[in-house]
Amino acid sequence: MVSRRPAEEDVIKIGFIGPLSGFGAAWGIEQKNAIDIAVEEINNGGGIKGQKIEVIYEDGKCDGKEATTAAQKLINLDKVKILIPVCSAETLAVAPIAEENKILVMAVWPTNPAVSEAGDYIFRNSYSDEDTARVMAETIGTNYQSVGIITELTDYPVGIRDTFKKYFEGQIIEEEYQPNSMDVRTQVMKLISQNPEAILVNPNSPATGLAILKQLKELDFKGALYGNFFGSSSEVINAEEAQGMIFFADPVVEDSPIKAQLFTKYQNEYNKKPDFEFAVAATYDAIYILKQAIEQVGVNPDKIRDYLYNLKDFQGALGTYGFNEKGDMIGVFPSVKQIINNEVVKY
Amino acid sequence: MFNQLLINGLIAGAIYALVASGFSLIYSICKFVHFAHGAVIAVAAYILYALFSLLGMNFWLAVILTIILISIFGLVMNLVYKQLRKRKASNVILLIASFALLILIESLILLFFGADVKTIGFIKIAKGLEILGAIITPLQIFIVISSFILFVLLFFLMKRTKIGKAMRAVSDNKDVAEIVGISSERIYMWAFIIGSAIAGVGGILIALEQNLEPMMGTHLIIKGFTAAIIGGIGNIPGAILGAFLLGFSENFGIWFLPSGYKDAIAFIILFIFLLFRPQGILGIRKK
Repeated sequence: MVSRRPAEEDVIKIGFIGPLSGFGAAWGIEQKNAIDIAVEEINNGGGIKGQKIEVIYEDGKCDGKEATTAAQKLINLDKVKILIPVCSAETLAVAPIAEENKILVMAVWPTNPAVSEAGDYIFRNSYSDEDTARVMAETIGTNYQSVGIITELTDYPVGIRDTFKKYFEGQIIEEEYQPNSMDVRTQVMKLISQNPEAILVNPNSPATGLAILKQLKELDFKGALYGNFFGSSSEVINAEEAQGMIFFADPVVEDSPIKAQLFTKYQNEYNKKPDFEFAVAATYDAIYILKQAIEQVGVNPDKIRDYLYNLKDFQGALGTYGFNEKGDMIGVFPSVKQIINNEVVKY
Repeated sequence: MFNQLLINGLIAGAIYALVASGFSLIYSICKFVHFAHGAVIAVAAYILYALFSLLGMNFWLAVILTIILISIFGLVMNLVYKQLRKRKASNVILLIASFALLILIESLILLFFGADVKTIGFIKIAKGLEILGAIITPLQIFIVISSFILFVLLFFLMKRTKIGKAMRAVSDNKDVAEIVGISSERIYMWAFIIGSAIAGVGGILIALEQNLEPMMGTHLIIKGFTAAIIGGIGNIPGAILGAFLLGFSENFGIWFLPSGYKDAIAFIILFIFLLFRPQGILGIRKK
């Protein structure tokens, strides 16, 4: 017979559900690294009121089904009271389970607008694609009356497309493709044949996005190129077929002492700067937000929830910010950038 | 428009054919589903990336080395299956083992190379050539021609060479072949060498055309497997035929249907074949 060690009480367990494999691993692993740095700092500094933090990592693969399984395991087996999911798909899948079990959710990069209404216990220190799509529509709409959108069929790109349609006032031509398809030549051809002035490339990850850009160039598309966040990937920035593309990315992480310290540590530990600055900074902040909350009210999801709703001035790598009544982060907006000569410049 | 759809179907079909032919060769001789064939293609792509993009080797030298290395890799996989065969493992066990190998290898690729997409910058990306109103790039032409050459070479291999005859013998009836003095283990070895070499060529071409990401093997083998079944599992020319059928139907299909249905088309065709002609286009119905 195995008995549970009462020593469990000495450790504060937090569950992380993020893409550690698959296309999302490009940022998921960077976010895990950020958590490792934060946890090490906190534990070396005496933990939270003497208790150490332990983060249990589960691979959500940026997929709702995987995230659901992971959440069940973390809540029922590991008995965590706090979850940190990453992608929109993961967060939206985890939300109902968390609400039912009264588990606090601090999500670190889900941008789908639906997360605002996902529940009382659901918080995110990420911007919403409501803002991204609005900025996209305004930017493209200033110059063009017709735009073709090619969308990968997963939560994030579909969220962007559906919200974009609300805000864009011109003509929209739509095409779509199954997740992870590399051969979208015919869809691209269908799009070009309708002669849109601009094309918005809306993939779930740089892999398929790059394939689309390549096919656009081969089919000699001469209009303007726009993209979603995938333009931040270093492979895309250095790709010939991506030059000139304007993309809508994470808010710029302004320089600050916290940011400098985090990124220097990251560079020393992992021998490269993070590709996804916002995601890494947000994830690092999430651990410290939770630390601050637990220090004030203990490991109690109801009390942490109330604390966070009233938090307006947390100081972190992302700057000074708080949460509104929907659990959304206040005060950051997506940035608009352009790839020119293998570099990213503000547009 | 029609011409472009034709070309798109041809390119897609050629890529599926590169996957399906090696897979079908191994199935027809070794009589089990080697899903890990997808991983072999992915490994070949990453070997070329490592040699050419990371180590800066001459491209053609890297290509030759990749094909040699991947054939050896195929041999190593055969060794794994051989151990299982020694313990009289059934084909279902070998299928599960091949799944395990696929997942293991892709995870290793993720571990060593990271999750971001990688590109092999050997060919400059530019507007394709215009032929009869449709656009096709030189690389894509090369891929289509390669799949045809492959078809011809495999045909000659199986029909006209001694080793091809021995392969057909083992494929037909392993026990009788052994009685006549053909070592089935040796033939299995050859099947894996040749099959993996084909996968190597496929991996190189696909890497140049579609870029690399760790899960590429899974996506390719699903389509390749579908093509092989449609064409007649165990029949190599059939696999290539099935591949082109798949390529054409997908691309013409989404001209009329919403594009989100592209993958559904492949599986609907598979379903129809399994229901009404399970032996595939060129397969022979076994009583």
